[in-house]
Amino acid sequence: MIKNKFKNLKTHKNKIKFIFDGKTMFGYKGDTLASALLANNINMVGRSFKYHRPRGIFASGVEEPNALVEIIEDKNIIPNIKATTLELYEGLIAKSQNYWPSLKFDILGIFDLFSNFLVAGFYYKTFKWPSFFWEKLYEPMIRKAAGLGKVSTNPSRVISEKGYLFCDFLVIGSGPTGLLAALILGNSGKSVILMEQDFVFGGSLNRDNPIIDNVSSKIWKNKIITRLENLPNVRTMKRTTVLGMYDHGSFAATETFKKESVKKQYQILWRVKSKKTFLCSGSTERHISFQNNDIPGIMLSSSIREYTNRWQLKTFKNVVFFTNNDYPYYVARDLISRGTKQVSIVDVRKEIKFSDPTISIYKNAEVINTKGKRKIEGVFIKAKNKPILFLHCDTLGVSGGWNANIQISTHTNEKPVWNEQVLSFVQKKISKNSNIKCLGSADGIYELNDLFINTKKEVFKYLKTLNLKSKNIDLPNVNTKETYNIKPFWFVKYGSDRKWVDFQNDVTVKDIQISYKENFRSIEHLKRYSTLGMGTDQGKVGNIVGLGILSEISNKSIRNIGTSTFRPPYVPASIDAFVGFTKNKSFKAKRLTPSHAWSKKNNSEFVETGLWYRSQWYPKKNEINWLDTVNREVLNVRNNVGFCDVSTLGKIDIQGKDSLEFINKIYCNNFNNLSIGKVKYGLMLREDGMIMDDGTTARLDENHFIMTTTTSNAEKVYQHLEFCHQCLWPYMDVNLISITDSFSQFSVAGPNSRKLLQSILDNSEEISNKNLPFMGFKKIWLKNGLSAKIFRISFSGELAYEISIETQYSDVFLEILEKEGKKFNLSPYGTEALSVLRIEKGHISGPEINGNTSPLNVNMLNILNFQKDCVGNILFQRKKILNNNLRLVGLLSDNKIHSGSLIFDKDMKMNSENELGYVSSSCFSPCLGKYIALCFFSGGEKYFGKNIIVKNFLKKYKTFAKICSPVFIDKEGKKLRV
Amino acid sequence: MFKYNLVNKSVAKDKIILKSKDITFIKKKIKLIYSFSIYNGQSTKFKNNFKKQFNLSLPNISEYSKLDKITVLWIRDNSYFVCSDFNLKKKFEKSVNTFYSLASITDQSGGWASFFIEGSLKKMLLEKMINIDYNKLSEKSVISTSFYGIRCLFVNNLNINKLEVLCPISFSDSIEKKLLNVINFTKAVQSNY
Amino acid sequence: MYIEHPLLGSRSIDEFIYYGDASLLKRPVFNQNKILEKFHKYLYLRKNPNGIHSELWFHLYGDRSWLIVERDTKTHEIRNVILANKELG
Repeated sequence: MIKNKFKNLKTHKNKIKFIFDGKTMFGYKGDTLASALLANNINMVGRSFKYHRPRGIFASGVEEPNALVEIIEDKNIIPNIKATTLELYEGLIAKSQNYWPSLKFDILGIFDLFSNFLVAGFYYKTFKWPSFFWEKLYEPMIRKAAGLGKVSTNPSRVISEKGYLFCDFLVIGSGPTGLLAALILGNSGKSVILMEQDFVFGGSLNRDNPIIDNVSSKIWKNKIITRLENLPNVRTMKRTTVLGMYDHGSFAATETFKKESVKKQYQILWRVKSKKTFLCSGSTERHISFQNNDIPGIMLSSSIREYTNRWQLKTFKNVVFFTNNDYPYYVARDLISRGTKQVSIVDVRKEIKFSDPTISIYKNAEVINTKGKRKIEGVFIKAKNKPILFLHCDTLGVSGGWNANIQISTHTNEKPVWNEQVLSFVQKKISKNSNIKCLGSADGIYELNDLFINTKKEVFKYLKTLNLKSKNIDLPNVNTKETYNIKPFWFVKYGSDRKWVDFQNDVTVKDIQISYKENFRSIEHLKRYSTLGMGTDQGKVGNIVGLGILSEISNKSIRNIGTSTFRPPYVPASIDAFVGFTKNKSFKAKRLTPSHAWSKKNNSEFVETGLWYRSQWYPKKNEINWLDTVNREVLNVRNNVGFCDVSTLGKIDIQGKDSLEFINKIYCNNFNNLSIGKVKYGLMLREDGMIMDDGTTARLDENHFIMTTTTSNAEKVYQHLEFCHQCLWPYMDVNLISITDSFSQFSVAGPNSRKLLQSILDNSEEISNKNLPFMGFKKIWLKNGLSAKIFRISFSGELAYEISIETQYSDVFLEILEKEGKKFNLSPYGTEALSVLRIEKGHISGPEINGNTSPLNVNMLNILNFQKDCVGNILFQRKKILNNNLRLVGLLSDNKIHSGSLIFDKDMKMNSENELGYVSSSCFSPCLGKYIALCFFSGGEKYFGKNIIVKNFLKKYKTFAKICSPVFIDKEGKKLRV
Repeated sequence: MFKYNLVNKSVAKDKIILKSKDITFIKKKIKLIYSFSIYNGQSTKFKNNFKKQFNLSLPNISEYSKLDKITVLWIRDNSYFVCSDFNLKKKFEKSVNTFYSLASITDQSGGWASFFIEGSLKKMLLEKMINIDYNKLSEKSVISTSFYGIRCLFVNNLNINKLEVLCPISFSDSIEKKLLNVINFTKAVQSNY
Repeated sequence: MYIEHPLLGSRSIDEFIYYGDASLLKRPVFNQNKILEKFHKYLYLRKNPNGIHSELWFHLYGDRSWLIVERDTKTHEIRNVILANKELG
């Protein structure tokens, strides 16, 4: 007799208080919510999905289909948590689900009465007509009745992080197989990680309590664990559930931490990469289908054993087992040794080797029905050639056999094979090079002695293939041998219906028969038509039963039917784990400009451009409307001087003796005439001839250039340049370095821009019109001794400069600029004003470079150089591109124009055939006092002066506009050269 | 020309973000960082000149080498970051000038933020930061990888409980927040191990 | 999924950007006969194998190198990885 070590733990110190359905109860440290509920004689824990039948705790682990509860913490509700894996903690508040108004008296239980109509295919057949009822009536109705738990919209209190682990060997599962395998692997000296989803190690040892090497399994297990924990190359992890297997030996696993009370719950999503993985996930018992086999009090026989041995429950006083194999006989012995008075076994087999006077055995017999609604009262038994018998009981344990838990090994499409001896799917055809190997009962080896022999053999064999050695370990000797002797038996023929196969989705034998009748006969069709195995338990207890039933109905062997595909996650995983830190404001990293702090101080509103936070405008205290702010900023640039942070534009430093040749191959216009100290506009094409980006490139020296790109294309252009260098022209001696972050860049624009800049320079003559003409570049020194680069380029069309100064000096530069700027009415301007200024000037930007425009469309055909090899200039010459007659024009209107609007002739019908073009950019022009836009129009310049309709179908808006030149301000470009 | 007293306040001094018995987390002041990308066929000349100027050999792939105030990081094939104290810039420039025909040089000092993590929790932190088996790398390694969606450099010595994280300066606030989060998380769960 | 970088060792797929078929390396030489057709074929026509595929990956978060990767599109097994610029240069 094994001493009840666990009994000693049931002291006052380890008592835990919790609340279930409003009632306060007590359990002990080491309990799950399920074991505590059973100990408190709670049997009904929920209502089923479809028929709202009373349901109880069915299993004792991740395979649990019924006991899904919701946990309530503050205002937060977490639904659909399995009571059988929820580790009990002080202050837990849990509630059963899926009923109204109470668990005991559920109005929707009425669905059960209509079960004849709610069979497989019900939704497809019933809610067909009339079709307009779907949106208004059917869908809302089904939604309300559907689902199990409620979802809370309050922020979760789970704190998650991501993690990355690497090892030579990953062992999944810490039962007898996993422990032995981990020890042998650990002794080889290579790195080993052992992952166990439960909060204690041991797996089936905790349930079956075998005697190994003449000691209790607990002592044996603890010896191994101690040895493992003393190996520095072995890492053991509890509460760590492997969710799935992915390519190249990578796995996802979630690790949770012991929750002492209602505090924050921590969680890690691990990505594990292992060279070889051993799946020691054990096996899961399945049930047998018969009439009314789903009521509270009916459980897997292995779960009864686990509640008795692991959690010392004494609530099973009068137990009946229904079985097709030997396992329940051993469970019966455990029950009796712990004080259960009455145990009976109903066995479908004719020949049984057991004859135990303390157990009532019914051979060649079946359980054909049960009595009881909210708790089982008894069973109806029919033995062959004998009359129906009624047996009272408080618990019914079912045992239909064991399924090897191979699911994770099938995630990368390895198909398992049905083994007729053990009646389970196993991985026999797995390729030698495959990263994963199943061991122990996960490989269909159920008897413990055989399991140890096989595990030791396989692991040593594997190590030998790698030329690795491991210390020899004595084979553990199992003193309590347990046999199997299974006979295939899937469902009881007696009785017409109400024989459950999948408890969670309320799928019965009748549903499978209907699916088959309606020709949904392949396993994949059966699954989807009947929803067998589609619940959160992924059919762990019912799938194979369903498969067996299909096999009998169709007279096809299970081997030929096969199994449906398993996909990660192996058990439900909270989305929290995948989100981790990246939620709410931290969803993406924020990229801040050098002037961010200054802008914030000056009341700027920010806009997100990709990851960048850019200043959109700088409202003054009296400005209520953003348009007033933007108009003021624009006019101030046109009349005085403004400055804008343009650091976000990509800056690429290009150096090397082949730099010029390289740049000439990247831009479609000629760059051979760019001399030192000059800047040139560059148009960059994709290989298909469409515009990729535009910018300017300055020549600092013979072999030194700086290229700028638009903000949003900076990464893309850099990748493109590296592609061209490394993949197309690797012989070129050129180096590309991104300096976007190293240098801050500010545009200073307006008629007073030169005067302002001269006042902060050491030598004001440096930037006179003669010494720094339009499109020139120079290195300059500020009065405080700092050096900077100055480019005389203009996006706004005014006299303008861009100053590039090392980022670490941006604060002091802004200080100086602000101080000296007061004399000239300097004010900052943001991206909105920047946009208005360039639209007024007819400069193309992001909206015009939309991927569908070629140089021809933006009136730049004349700058293309066809004499040289450059990206895009060949495919640009395709007929379709050359014949495209869209040209960039301007639009002028008294009313607002929206970007994306379509252009139509006044006299034609507004349909897609008559579309004449579309608006790419639009704004209000304070300089003209009108609304303006840039637009691609069929025909271009010869239509200047024509009135057309601008129509926006989405906004249901229409206005008139006049076609004009896209350059609204200073067509001759006089201001630029002043 | 450079003036240390004119640098942005946010990078002028070290800032201690967190200090406890098992972990210290500091945002460092500005570092001097120059990038060198060797021109075709100049490798040998560059190596020799480098040894002459700094008395230091270039590091191997994904490694760093260090001597006194100079640290050299391998960034990519034929490309290195040379790091030092910012206030040594004047002296440094003189050495840099000897390389102009051998490599393309850019001053990256203002472009990077540097974070310093030291303490016994370093190992547990690293396994939550980078998806790299850093234990298989050399003793002194530079790891360029994705962290919080951003390309960062991790400078790690296997035998010391010190780690440096370099990120583009525009992301420094976000990276600081993310690093602090990982540190606080690790501190909170470490008692469970 | 992991790519075995020839210089840096095993790196997670998140560090890379997939670009396309490795035939993009064979850009037609400028100034040939039927150059338009050749470029059209180069950019648009390619095989789509169920099996080994030679493709281009950019190591954006690592050393910004371009790699030629041989990957089995069916099993995802990666056979061979080389630096693009060493292949031609």
